[in-house]
Amino acid sequence: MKKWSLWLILLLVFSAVPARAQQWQLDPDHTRFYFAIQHIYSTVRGEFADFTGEVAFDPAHPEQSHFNLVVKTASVNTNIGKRDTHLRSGDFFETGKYPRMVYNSTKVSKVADNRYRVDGLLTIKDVTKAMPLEFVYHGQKDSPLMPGKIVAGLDTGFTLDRLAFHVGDGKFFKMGAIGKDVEVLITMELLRDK
Amino acid sequence: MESEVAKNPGLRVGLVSLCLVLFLLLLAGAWSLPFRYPSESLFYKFGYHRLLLVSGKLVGVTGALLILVQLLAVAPGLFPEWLFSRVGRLRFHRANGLGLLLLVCHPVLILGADDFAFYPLAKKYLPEFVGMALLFSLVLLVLTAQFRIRLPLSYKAWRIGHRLGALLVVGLFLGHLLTVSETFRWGMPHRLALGLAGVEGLLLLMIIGRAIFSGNKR
Repeated sequence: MKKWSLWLILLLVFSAVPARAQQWQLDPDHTRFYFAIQHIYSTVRGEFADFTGEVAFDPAHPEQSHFNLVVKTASVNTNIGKRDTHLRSGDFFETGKYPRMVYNSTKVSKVADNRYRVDGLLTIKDVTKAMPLEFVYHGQKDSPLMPGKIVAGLDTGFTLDRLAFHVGDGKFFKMGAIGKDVEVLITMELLRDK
Repeated sequence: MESEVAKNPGLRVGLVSLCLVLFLLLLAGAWSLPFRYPSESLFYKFGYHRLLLVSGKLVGVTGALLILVQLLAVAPGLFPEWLFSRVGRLRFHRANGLGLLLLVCHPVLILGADDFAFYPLAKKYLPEFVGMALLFSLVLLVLTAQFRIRLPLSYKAWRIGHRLGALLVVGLFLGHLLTVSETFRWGMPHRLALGLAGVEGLLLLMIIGRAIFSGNKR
């Protein structure tokens, strides 16, 4: 009887401790921060190649999940050196003064079968704004390429007003040269040990 | 001609003035290039940033012309010694070399136009890095020439190094010129840049040829 009581107590104690969401690492080669913006009539596409992230995600317990993503602004790449230098200058990202863009989630919740809403704060330059994102969860499985690893996939796309984050003062927008709405696509492959 | 010039100092002054006028015409032509054939980056610059970028480009094309003049000054047979004495030509070569230090302003002005957003190590910035290597080599070449006496090198060793350095500088300069700006990638400026590359190649061949065939006696 005494032994059973002990097991019962242990079971109660452990079930009371909230489960921690699974910790993941961003696969840097298969995680991308893409953007697209209108230039007069054409669309200029680019990406930020340097980033870090701390992701805890458990599809069964989204409330215990969090996303902290840091993107280095100097890594902006549109494949044209002079344009990228201009993007790093004070006309846009001012990377010397504002080297990072940061997204910190505050709440993760499930909205549909494979869709998760992530509420969080996005900081670009000197502006921090609430930015809810809707992630599509593609599932997780044993990595077909890396034995001993589990891979998960998440994507999100959203549009933001660059001028609201002081990325540019609006002169190019008023000229009709560069749009203000930036389409962002974040596609992530996450890895963890089996 | 030699005796006529010797007899008539006015003719000598006239010929030297003609060279100066030719240089000024070339300079005016070179300065017109960034305006007649503007690179796309100029369309995105206004006010102070535009002023810096335009100034940087003007300093760049001036430097390009001074490099050509530098080669012309030492190429054998182009300027006969009865027109410019040998000592005068070497003095001019040294002064022009110091003038080339003006090119130090070029990257400062160009980078200033983008608020000193430095270039990350990436293949797309190769023309800019070639430019940096050029500037470094050029400054080294000028300073080692100006302070040659203080160097622990024989004149002969220094001269070999100086000529090899000049070869490197001209190679880097042409590489930088032909790749760094859209201005020199198409049309008339591209043809001019190719022409300049040809002329400088020829001048280098003349200088190296003389060094080899004269047995490095001079």
